[in-house]
Amino acid sequence: MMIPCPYCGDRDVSEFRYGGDATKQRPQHGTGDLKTWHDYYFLFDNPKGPHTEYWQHVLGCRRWFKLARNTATNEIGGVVS
Amino acid sequence: MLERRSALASATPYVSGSLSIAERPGFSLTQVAGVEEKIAAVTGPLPEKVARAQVNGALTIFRIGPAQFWIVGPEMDDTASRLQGQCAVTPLSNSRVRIALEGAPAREVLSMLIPVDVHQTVFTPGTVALTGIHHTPVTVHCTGETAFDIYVMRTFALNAWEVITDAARAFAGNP
Repeated sequence: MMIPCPYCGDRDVSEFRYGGDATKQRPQHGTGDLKTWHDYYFLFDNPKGPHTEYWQHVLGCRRWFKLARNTATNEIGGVVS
Repeated sequence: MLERRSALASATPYVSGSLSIAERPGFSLTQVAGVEEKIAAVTGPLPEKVARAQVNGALTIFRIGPAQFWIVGPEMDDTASRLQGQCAVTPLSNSRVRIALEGAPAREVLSMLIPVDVHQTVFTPGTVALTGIHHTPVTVHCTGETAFDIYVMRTFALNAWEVITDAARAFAGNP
């Protein structure tokens, strides 16, 4: 699988680190509801199909970016701004 | 007086046919980050893309990210001091070891080590790749048709050296 690093160009997936779901919204600072924090930290969807994820080019420029990837086909939709 | 000691002091240069692998010391390396116009006022033009090196006289400049650069210069170089106050300056001369891989099979050896297309029509002289050898970050600079400089972290240098020379042994006896 080739991943289009926004700085280095198309590079092999072995140079990258997966960083998790990029669609989750962090609760606002000061949120006191423990269930909200629990759900944010511990509950994850496992979507099949189009997904937006964090990736880091850990063996390259070390930058983090958001990537659109189809989890069923590994088709890359490109970098998400 | 502190004496600079190579991390590859115990490594024997590798030569087989036209292929040679040897440490190439005698350089300074400075990482800078900041406003590109301020950096360029001291160093000269900066590379526009990560993939290409910019040579300005004695300096070779790699772009390693947005507004972040590596400046390779001669061992005694005042570029870092001239950039002080202009941008964030990190001296890296003692943190990296430069290994030169040269000879006819150099591209084949490199293709066994990094997940980058090193075909002569793609990885041409002047091309740079920030990539990894054996799970450690390295910077590979194509300096000639069959010549490459590999910048390795000092602490991983001996390990990288063994991996590179191990790959080279597949071509032992080649002309």
